[in-house]
Amino acid sequence: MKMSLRARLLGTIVGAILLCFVISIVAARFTLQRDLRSQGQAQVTNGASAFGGYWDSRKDQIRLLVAQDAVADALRAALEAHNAKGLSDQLSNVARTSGLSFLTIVDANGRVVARANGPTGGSLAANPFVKRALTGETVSTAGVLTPADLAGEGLAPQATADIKDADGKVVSHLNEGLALVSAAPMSDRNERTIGAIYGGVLMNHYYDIVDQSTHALGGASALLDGDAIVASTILAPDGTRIVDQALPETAGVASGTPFDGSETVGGTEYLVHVEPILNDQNKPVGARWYGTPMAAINDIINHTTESLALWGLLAAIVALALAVPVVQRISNTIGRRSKQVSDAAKELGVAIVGSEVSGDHVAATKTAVEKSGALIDDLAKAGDPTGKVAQLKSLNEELSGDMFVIDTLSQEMSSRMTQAVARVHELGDVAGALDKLVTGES
Amino acid sequence: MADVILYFGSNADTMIATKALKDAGVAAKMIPKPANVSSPANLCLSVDGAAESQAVSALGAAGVALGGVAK
Repeated sequence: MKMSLRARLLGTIVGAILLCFVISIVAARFTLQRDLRSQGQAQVTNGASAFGGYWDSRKDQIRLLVAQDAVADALRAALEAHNAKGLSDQLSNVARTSGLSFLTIVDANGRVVARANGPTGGSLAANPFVKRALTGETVSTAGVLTPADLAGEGLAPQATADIKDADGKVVSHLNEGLALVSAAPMSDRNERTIGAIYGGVLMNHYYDIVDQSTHALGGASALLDGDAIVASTILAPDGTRIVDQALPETAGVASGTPFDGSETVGGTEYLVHVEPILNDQNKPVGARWYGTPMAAINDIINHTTESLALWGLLAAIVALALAVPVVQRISNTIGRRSKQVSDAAKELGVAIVGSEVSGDHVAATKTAVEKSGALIDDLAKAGDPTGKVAQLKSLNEELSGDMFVIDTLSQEMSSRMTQAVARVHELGDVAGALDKLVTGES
Repeated sequence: MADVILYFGSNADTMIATKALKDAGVAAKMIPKPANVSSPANLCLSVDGAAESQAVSALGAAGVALGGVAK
């Protein structure tokens, strides 16, 4: 494809600008993705730590409530008196005003004396928290309530759920509960252990903590039992909370390993940090999930990229606006010079032809003068009574000398012209090449 | 005064010398090389003997290499 110098120069400039433009955008996008994701991950980790702070605060609050109840005179007196009805009423009031899911008092043998809710009776002697409390220890920990524990406290309906995958297909059934529990010994006036009080908050379908966290920190929070969401502020596309859904990507957290990365939940991609929830024996019993939508990061990246593209386009237009006149001027100058060279070559060609024709004419004149000299010699042989022939001979010899000089000069010029011919051809080639470069045409 | 012959290394030098002498105001006539002059060029210049030194000076000033002078 033939292209003029103007087209080539402009093409090169446009190509260079576009290449620079594309590389800049790709590099900027890559750098933004890396840096913003890194910054976002740090932000999410900080948010997850704050979420953990709300969790710990709630745990301490429960411990404090239970510990206060353990030393409440009214409760201790009722326990000593085995006033189950009175205890049950008091526990119901305390649980309701304190926001506890369950609150139960057992005697020194672990038999249930009264519950805030649920059926009375039964035994918690095998319950590990109650057992520890009856030995005098105040327990405060996260834990998993078994189906039997939940049934005893009347909490089974709150915890029981079918766990579905992202497509809504049931993948498992959950009948245990993630809870913050506390248990404390109860003593009589002589500081003898007469029983224990055991209470806590079941986290399944309990949204206070996740709502509090999201309200304060933004993003989305969730509590996981295994890989199942039991409470969350993650919203589905229809605006409802996502709960009772499995998150297979974070299943590893159940073994105690935190997870950092991106995860798509409810059709939204989040940058997440998932922290295992450990009980007071440092065993994982669940997980706290905290994430911010990747859209927040992607929006910045896209906006920055669009801005770069827009400004780059503007810069390209300005650069072209500056370059076009320069290229135009250079092309015009080269074109004008090319034409000058071409015209000069043509004129030199005429001069060469003239020189050649002139040389031929000089040679013919020289031959005529030589013939004239020969005729004068013949006339001199016939006699020269007036001396005019001798004068004519002298004049002819002078003419012959001049002709020799003219002929020699003519030959010298012819030789020079021959060299000039070669140069003219070279100049013609250069002019042609310049013309082709400028116009793109041969 | 008799003419002197100035000769040069080539006919081109002879031509250049003719122009140089003309510019310097020295009358010179280009003639065929005489038989008694030994030079690669077959043209030489004839100048008046009185103007010889002026001609040689003009040629020197013009940077033209003079092959020799024959009298």
